Amino acid sequence: MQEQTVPNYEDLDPDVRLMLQVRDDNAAAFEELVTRYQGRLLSLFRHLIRGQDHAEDLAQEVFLRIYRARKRYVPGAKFSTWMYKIAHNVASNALRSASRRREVNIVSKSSGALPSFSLETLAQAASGLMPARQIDSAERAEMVRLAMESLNDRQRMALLLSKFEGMTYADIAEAMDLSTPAVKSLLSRARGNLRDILEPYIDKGTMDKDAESSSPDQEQQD
Amino acid sequence: MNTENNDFQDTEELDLNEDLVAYLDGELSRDNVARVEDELSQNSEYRLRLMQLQQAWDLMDELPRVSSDEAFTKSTVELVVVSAESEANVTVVRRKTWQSLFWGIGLFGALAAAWGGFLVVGQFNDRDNQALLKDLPLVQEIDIYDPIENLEFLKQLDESGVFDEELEDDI
Repeated sequence: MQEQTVPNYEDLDPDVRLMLQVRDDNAAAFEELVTRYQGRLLSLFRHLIRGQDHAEDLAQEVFLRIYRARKRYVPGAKFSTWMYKIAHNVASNALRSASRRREVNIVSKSSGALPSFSLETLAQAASGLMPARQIDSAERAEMVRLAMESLNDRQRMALLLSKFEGMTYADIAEAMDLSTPAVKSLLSRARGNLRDILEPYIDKGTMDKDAESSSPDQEQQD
Repeated sequence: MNTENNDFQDTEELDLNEDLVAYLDGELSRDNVARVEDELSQNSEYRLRLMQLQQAWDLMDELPRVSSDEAFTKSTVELVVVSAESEANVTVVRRKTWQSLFWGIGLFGALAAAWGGFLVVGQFNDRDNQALLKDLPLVQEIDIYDPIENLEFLKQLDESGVFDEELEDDI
């Protein structure tokens, strides 16, 4: 079974080929993989875990695990799927530790302690924040960040993998040790929650620019 | 009854929502795409929900993306190099430990085999000595018994107690 998939992924995915070179102790190949994926991993961890330094530590931990696992590496999936599976494990451990320490395990650019938000309070906050003027990008980013914080860890992880990594449900399922239907359900709840929280922005015309630019046809293509 | 209806509606709504999100993600089968598009053409609330889901999705683009620099790459590679060196050291130490253990076990095995051999040989020697000791009275009187060539006759004499009487007389 594996013998059939090995050449397949090796042919399809250049990063798998790089990883196979890493398996043969090629340092340059490893550096290339770090260069290709560090930004994506940092973004993922920044949106999952609180704190820039922590995100960097976790990203490095992922690369370290990849390196340590190199001799056992068998290309049974796309390289990115395999890497995000490791990232998911690293993030889960970090979130569990943070939870044990009763820290707020959410990402924040600010250094102060953050309150916990419910969907309802966020929606109310959004309504209260609606001035007549168009909100600026920084405010929108903050609102989205707060909305993301209100999702649970798994919803956030699945959403980030889907949105920023463009991963299919099957790949997300593999990375998160879930079934594909479970991912479908998870993403549906995540996006439903996100829509509920951000509804005040969307409904009150603050997203006019976005709404105008996205015709139904474009939406379906997206 | 009402609760059952609500449950049914909730489940149905949940399925529709899941399909709507999967539709946006391009993860639906052709049949389900047709079903969702049919529903969209007939249901304005469904269309609104689709639009809102898409807008919320687009809003995620506002999240800052993190750009990494060469310094991070360098420190990551350095971290891995240090780890690799430590891994190599551990491997060397482990190999030496295994080698020592191997030689130790070999030496112990050789000593144990030598000692076992000595014991086995000693046991055989001891068995021979025991047999000689047991046959000592016979050996001492071999000159007397030697002319009697019939072993059965000697056994009959032994069973009749003649030798015991002689022994008592000697005592």
